[in-house]
Amino acid sequence: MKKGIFFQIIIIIILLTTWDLLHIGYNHQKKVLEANISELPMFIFSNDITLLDSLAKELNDLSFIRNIIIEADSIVAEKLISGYGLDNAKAILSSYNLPSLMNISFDGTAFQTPQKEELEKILSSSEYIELIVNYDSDLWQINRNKLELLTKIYYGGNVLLLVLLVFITIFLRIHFEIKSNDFWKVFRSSGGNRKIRRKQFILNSLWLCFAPLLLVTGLYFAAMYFKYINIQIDYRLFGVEFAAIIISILMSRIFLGKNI
Amino acid sequence: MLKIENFALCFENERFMLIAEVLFAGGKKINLFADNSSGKTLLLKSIHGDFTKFEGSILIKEKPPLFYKKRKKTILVENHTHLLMNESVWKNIVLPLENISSRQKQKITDLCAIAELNEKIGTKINCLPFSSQKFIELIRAVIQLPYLILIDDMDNFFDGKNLLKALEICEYALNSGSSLLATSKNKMEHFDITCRVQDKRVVIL
Repeated sequence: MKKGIFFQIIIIIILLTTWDLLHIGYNHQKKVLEANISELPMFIFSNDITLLDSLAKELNDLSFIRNIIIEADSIVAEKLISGYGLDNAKAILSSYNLPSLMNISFDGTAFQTPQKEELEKILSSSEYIELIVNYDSDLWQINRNKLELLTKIYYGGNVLLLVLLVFITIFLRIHFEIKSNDFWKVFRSSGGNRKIRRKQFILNSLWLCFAPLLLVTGLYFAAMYFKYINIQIDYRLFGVEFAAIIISILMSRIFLGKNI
Repeated sequence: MLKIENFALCFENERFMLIAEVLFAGGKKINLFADNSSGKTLLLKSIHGDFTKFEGSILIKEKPPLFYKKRKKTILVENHTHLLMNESVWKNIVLPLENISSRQKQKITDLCAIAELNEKIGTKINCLPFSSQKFIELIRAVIQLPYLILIDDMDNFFDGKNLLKALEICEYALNSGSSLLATSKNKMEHFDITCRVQDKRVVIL
């Protein structure tokens, strides 16, 4: 009987570890893809720096904009000269009227399709129609698609693991309780206290509820503390895991009915 | 200890095992002998609280058997064994005991010595003969000091010599106020009260 509970604890630990690895893997991959979006800047060129200033004022209120830098044409020329060693062409460059530049970097988490559409709407308004916009929308779209696929896989994985955890826990609990029926039959007929089985069931349930979850959660926090991982899991997810175990134990109790 | 009034078992409009009124005091050995299918087992199960379709009333220490449903104060030793076959003699004896005092340990050892089981205390049940298995059930019942020890068809598994040993084992519980009610097919000696079933009625001899 003790072997049965130990086996169930091991199985739940494996499932919870897999579940937590799913959370960690998702958060890690999400960070990478969002960083890709953040690192993808938008350049806006214009000969009229005041137009860029008024656009910057408008965009500053948007939550998905992380940073806006406006570089005047003289600074652009300086950067080109120092960047490409064009000291000899300094006179030629100064004779040209270079455009001013606006460099917009985005918050990868917030910059999603509706936000991009909102930005495009602003940029396509008659006021800013003359601006030259340079942004790699294809790369942004690839990263967004990957994020959407990742999110779908993550939610699917959560549902799968939730169902697996609930069903496996119920199945194992019922299996081991029915297997121990002969023992309890002898126990009762020998004069043993009939409440003992219920007490044992509650005690085993407490072990199944707390031992695997505390162990797996403890391992996660230990790994965080010793900096083996630096990915934050939403604490509510531990609550969901706990609730799943509680539900499976309650359901197995209902299914076992008068056996206990 | 045990009071039975206007008792009757009913099966397909037939009434049998009729008991007008009996009152057994504590610490007594009672033998009820009758032929097969006379209702001996059902009477024991009725007293034990496992069978409720009977007429009349059964009171154990002035409480009906259902009162003891959760914490049994009677122990029924049935015809077939209720033992954990792959466990040791000791494990089977102490199975219902939540805490074992040193006095109980000593008593179990003494009772096992009477049943010649003291050298087989670590032996698995499935290696023992049937009569030894019944001794183990009896010791397990006696050590708990219940109000009543009910033994069904006692002469089935204890012959004359073993019966004396079994009664010696029961003395421990009898001295503490327990009563023993054993059924059999034939009259058994060394009992304080002997009853028989005659024309479907229980008669005290």
